[in-house]
Amino acid sequence: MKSVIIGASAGLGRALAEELARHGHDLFLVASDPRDLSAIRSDLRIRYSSRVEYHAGDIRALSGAELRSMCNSKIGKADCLFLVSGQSDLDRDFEKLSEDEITRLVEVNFSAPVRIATAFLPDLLESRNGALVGIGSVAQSRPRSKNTVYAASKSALEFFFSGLSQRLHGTKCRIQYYRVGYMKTGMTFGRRSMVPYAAPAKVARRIVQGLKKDGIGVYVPRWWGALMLAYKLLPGFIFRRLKI
Amino acid sequence: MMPIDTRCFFSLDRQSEFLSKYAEPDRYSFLEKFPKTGRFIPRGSGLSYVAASFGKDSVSVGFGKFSRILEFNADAKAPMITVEAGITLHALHIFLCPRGLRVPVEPGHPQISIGGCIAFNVFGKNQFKEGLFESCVEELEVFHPQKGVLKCSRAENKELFDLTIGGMGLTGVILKAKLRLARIPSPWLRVRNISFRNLQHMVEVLQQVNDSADALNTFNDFSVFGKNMGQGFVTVSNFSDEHTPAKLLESFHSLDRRPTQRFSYFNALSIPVFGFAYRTWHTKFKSEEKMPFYQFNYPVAGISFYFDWYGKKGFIERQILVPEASVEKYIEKFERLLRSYRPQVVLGSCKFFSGKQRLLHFAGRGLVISIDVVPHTGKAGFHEALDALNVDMGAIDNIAKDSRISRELIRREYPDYEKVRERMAAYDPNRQFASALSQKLSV
Ligand SMILES: Cc1cc2nc3c(=O)[nH]c(=O)nc-3n(C[C@H](O)[C@H](O)[C@H](O)COP(=O)(O)OP(=O)(O)OC[C@H]3O[C@@H](n4cnc5c(N)ncnc54)[C@H](O)[C@@H]3O)c2cc1C
Ligand SMILES: NC(=O)c1ccc[n+]([C@@H]2O[C@H](COP(=O)([O-])OP(=O)(O)OC[C@H]3O[C@@H](n4cnc5c(N)ncnc54)[C@H](OP(=O)(O)O)[C@@H]3O)[C@@H](O)[C@H]2O)c1
Repeated sequence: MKSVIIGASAGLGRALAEELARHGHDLFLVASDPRDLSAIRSDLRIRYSSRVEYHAGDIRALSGAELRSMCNSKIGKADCLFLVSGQSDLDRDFEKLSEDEITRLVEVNFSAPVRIATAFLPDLLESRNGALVGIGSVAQSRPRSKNTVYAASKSALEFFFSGLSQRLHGTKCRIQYYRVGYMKTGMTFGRRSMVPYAAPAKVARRIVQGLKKDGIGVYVPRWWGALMLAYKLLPGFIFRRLKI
Repeated sequence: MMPIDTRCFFSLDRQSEFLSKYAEPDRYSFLEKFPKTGRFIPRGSGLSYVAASFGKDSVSVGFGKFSRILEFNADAKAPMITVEAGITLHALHIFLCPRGLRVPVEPGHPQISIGGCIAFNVFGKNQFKEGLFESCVEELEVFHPQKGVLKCSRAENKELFDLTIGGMGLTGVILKAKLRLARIPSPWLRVRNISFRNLQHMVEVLQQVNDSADALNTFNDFSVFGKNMGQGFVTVSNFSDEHTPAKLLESFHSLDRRPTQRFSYFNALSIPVFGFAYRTWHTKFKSEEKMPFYQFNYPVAGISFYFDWYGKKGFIERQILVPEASVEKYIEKFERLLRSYRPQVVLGSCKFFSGKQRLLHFAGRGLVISIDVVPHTGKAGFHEALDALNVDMGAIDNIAKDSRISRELIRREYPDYEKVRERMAAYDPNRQFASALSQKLSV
């Protein structure tokens, strides 16, 4: 199997790279910094004898078609594509964000993943074990006054995945979109929360286990589903007063 | 800028506790984000007995995410591995053991990082054969915000290499280390426990088995104060000639320290019972056994509750290297001290060391005596009296193990103390890397 991971240098993407290498996948990794990607490549090659290649660049500036052809020439046609990269400005929103920052959030969390997914689609459809995996967030479960641009972009990405899942019906390509709960990664470093943070390795294991199934809006870890249901059922007049 | 948080840090012995700033980079872009000014101290797994990886005025920078294997050469004659310094002994064990290899010097817990091993120039259960950790370090890559990333080895940037090994993280961040590996003759050890009556008898037994053993360690019971003080057993281990694969150490309990309200289970009643039970079990029921070699190397991995049982007051570890020529006299005086002060010693352990002492390395030729003492037990003044005995007999205390060690004591015990200070100051006049330990010792 050949897998492409967008956002593979840290957090969940790095954990997925390790989990997939453990399962014998050849990997094509993408993130901004070649130093991180080269270290991961060496590690996975040495520990799992996997074929690992990478391309370093900002996904906002990368063309999906170019990435696809790079992947094809370095490891061959992709079977699975994991759209993991994401960015959020947890403490700022609305008027505190500049126009450039809003554009960055929308591009990294929505438009770049959509472009890349679309470019790779022919290869995923051709594969006998094709899978497209998108990573969303529990933040998109109900709109609130924090992290809104991020959550809106992730919601838009889920919308795209929902549409694509209809298109993929009857094909061999599976499609999953996960609403991931809090994880202990660089993105959340230093943040306190009443709910526990999951280890990215655990979330990665769950995602790899689910590769053979379809599922849009699946919560991982699972218990987030129950928590978010309660959250969504909160009456509006209470919810509006909450500072969460 | 690196994101910075505030955390409460404890030394393993719980004698130091600090609320200090913490950063935990996970990408190499931290090199550009690292502030050019300010105080920092690298942190590996944070398992040191002392406040070596944090301090009130320093940002502790955790490197646990830098844990990848970068190069591996299984060459039959000179196997080598290059790793990021945050990698743990456990990760290396899982990778190397099935390939018949190991890091030649391994301190006693799998969670310890390679950065921590280098920065304290640690020793293993086979010090008399393999020496200190420095013996397996071939090359390092060190980052200092004012100097950038520097490669160093015995041939290149020698001063930096020399100061970084055993340098307590004060020369900067060790990013990468190239290590020499050793072949494991077998994944199994044959282990024998030989009883001894007291410390003098222990030295005789150790001398008899020293040359033939692959690794040695003792258990000493210091809860009796009569003629059997220090009685126990020597654990002699030799690699077996069996080649069936041994089960790997898949998991272990983390030794991360958190706040606790627990009281100590160790007291004047429980310690003798514990000592008796432990001795009897190992000499009567387990006098010979076969075990995977890691089980011998990491004795605490399966019983990490041992440290929790000291409760919130923790413990004081004294680890003393007594010069070979003074061992007999030292033991006499040491026993006299224990008899007159009667501290509660839960665990005692001894081993032979070889090599030469230099800089602030815990090294030299002689006998190492370690004791874990319940704080504030026995007559007041035991530790001060032991300090005086050590200075008098030319013994040295292990800086990495004892939180109460003072600058004055180190100055008197370690002949190179001033030299180390001067060389550190010449290398980094701004002293950008400092911990509570280094500040206390003025290093
Ligand atoms: C159960 C147990 C058994 C032990 N057994 C032994 C033993 O048999 N022999 C022995 O010698 N020691 C032993 N030790 C002590 C231990 O080996 C040292 O304290 C070691 O330094 C701990 O490593 P760490 O990764 O936890 O480092 P930390 O405690 O995080 O740091 C220790 C020092 O290393 C520095 N450091 C860490 N990473 C880096 C880096 N990347 N770059 C620069 N500096 C760095 C820190 O600044 C600090 O000064 C034992 C400790 C425990 C808990
Ligand atoms: N952490 C959480 O609690 C949490 C919760 C819910 C959902 N999520 C989602 O889970 C996913 C992974 O999060 P994480 O916590 O693992 O994040 P992370 O640790 O910050 O890692 C993000 C990864 O994406 C890459 N990336 C970001 N922007 C990029 C860009 N413009 N171009 C190329 N690569 C880029 C990063 O590489 P570079 O640094 O090299 O750019 C890195 O590899 C994200 O989609 C996030 O929104 C996270």
